[in-house]
Amino acid sequence: MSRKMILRVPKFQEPKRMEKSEAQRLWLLLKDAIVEVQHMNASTLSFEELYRSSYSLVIAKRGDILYTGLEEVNNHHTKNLLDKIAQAVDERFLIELNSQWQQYKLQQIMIHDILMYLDRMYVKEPQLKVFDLGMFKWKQNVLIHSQINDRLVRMLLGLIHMERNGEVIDGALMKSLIQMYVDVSLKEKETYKQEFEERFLLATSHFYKSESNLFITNNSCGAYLKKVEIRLIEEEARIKQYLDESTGPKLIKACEDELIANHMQTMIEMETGCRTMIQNDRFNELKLMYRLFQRVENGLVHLKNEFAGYVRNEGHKIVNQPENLKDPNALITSLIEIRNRFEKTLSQSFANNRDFINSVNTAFESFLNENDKLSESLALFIDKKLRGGFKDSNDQEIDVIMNKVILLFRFLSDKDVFKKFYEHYLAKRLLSGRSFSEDLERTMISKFKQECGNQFTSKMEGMFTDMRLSKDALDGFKNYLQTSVEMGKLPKIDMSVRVLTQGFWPTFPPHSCTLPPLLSQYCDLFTKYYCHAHTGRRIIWQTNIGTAEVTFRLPKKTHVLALSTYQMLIMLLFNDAEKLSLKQMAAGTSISFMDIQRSVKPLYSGKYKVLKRTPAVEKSKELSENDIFELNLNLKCKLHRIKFAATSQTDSEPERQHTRQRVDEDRKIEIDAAIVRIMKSRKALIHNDLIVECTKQLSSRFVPQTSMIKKRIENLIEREYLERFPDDRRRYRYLA
Amino acid sequence: KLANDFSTFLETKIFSDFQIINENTNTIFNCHKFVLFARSSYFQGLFRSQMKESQEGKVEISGITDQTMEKILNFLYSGTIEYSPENAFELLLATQKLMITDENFVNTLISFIQ
Repeated sequence: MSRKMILRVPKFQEPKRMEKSEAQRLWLLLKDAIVEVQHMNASTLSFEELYRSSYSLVIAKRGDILYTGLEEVNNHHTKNLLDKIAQAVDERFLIELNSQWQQYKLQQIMIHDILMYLDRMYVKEPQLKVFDLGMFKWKQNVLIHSQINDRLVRMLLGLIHMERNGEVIDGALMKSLIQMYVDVSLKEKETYKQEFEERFLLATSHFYKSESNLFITNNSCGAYLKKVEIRLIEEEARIKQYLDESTGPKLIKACEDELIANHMQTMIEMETGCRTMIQNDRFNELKLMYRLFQRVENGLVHLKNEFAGYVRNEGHKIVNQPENLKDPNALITSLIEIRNRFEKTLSQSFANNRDFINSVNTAFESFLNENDKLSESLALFIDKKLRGGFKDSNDQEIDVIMNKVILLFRFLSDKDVFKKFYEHYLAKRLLSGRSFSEDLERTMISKFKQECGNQFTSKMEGMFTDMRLSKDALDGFKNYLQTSVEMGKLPKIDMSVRVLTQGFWPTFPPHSCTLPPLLSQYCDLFTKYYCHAHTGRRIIWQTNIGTAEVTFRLPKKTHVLALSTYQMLIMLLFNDAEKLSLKQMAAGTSISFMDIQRSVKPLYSGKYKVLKRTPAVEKSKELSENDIFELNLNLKCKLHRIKFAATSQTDSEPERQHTRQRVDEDRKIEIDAAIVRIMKSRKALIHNDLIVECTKQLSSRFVPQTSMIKKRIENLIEREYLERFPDDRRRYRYLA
Repeated sequence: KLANDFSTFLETKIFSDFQIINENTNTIFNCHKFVLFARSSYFQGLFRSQMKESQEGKVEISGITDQTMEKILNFLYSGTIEYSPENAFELLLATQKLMITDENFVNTLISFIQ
């Protein structure tokens, strides 16, 4: 090391002015060193000497010589490199370029270290820092030179294309060369974006456009989805392997656009597509489709709409199928089946996505309310289950079915109709003793209670209370009979009475009939007993829903017939007559002709015929007043006890009508109550707002018709609960 | 505590792997590469470039007196330094030449001089 160059800095003194020749000498020394570095001969150089030289130049305010000199040296060097690299042929080109680049980068770090003092103290914006100057010269003279750039990008894209077609390429080489574009970018990776990324993304879109078009026309949708998934995984790996991470989202977006977004409609509609998959419960394929569609904008909306549409369509078919319309049990069973099926699809394929669940529910709501018989069908379905349909199911299975019933119930818009029917069938079950298990009845009711609150089930619970109290009353009555004086005079019969609280039970259509004197007497006794025990109560006999057992003596055999009260009355008439016309039956019992018809039917047309029609007319179904019946003394039956249906299993049309009518009556009251409630709190309201508010309040029970609400408003005005504003007829005021 | 412990390295010269030599007085300062590398950009460049000095394990420096060098090294190891109107300017020059990366300290010195 030469001692002459040492610059002594006396304390508290400015450095001496440096002679121009001295400055030139120092620069030449540095220049030689830089050239050595550029030829990879740095190990013999003295760092301290070079550093001190640049330090001295900067201290002496000669940094300009150094900086411009450096620029020239870099310029010269990179131009030399260009020739060398451009000469390389074929694959050698990339290798030569890469190795020169790697060396150049190391050299630039070293030059930066030597000229650190220049970099720190002299370089000011907009001048480039020493290292950036090196990068810039490489970019200017090598990378974006016409002999390099286009050739390089084409080769890189070519290699990527090959790799996409399954060939193996040198990932490390790719990474280094692509990173070069990033390294020479001065800010925001602009060179990388302009020169490489843009063309790469374009090539990607192009590649996947043609590949996807070809693949989807020659393969099934399922195969295509798998292909797409693999492609996306490959591209993710490509980002990690040799692309700049900033390209990641753009690349994936480009792939998703070409592979998914552009083919969504096709994937839904094609023969092997979404529709078929849903139809055939191809859960895995749908799951893949869900995952892929999720990645693109509005993808899930398409899938969801398609699925919901299918659900609606299937549901529509079920609720309108003629066989299902006739058989409530089959209808509800198939509804539960498709519900199960779609729930499976939702959980297995669509990740139980809330939007999907909601749209399936909306679909259910729409088709379940298409058919106004659904409330009744659902009530009948439960009726059948509770009459013994649950016999072979364990607790868990029963619970599952009950929950499904509740689920379907939830979709009903006219819950009050359902409630009426449910109460109706519950009453019938209880009164005819056909309920299979009180526990199950109560479980079912508690589920409705959970769903709709106390009010919904209070009547049903009242029925159970009545049943219990009736039993007590009956026991009391029997004791009373034993101690009663009048008892000795009467033949003993076994009479059972149920006392039903009015209001809890459906009002059965009023019917009248004449009971045999003995029964009549017993009824009077009971009335006397009961009214004595419970003062202030009144008893109305409902004979039409009772049952009776009648002994039927045939010449060779005796049967016990389990009959309805009406049937009993009819049969008793035959004690005194051989043949009776329907007209005579009606006269003898005071039962309406229609009830006679319905009661007689099971007796002569069922499996066991205790009556026969004379003359026998098989075909004609309608009975007329003058049809004549006689006892069938040739009855052949192995059973001792023969049970007869009171009427046909499902309710007759008039009965159904009656239930509907009662629903309408109840609705009027509910609407009145709602209107008064609303008006009481709001005092004054415009017509439309009142309608909207009223509909909203009642929606949990039923969907009121606007015309009905209007009528109720009119009615309330008449009853002076409301009045119209004199100046604005559309506004109402509440009258306290 | 940490500062004291590190100063011990400088005082005892234990595990020393690099020498700084004053070209004028030939005084040898035994130091540790890891401390120099961590605290001075000058030494970072020196070790990274793998030129003569990093291979020989020593560097000859001129223009910094033994006293100043001692103070500077002390500071690199312990983070503390005593300065006075007499030595402040010389210390500043030395920290600039050696590109001490502790900017707080450099700024304190500059404002002290002003």
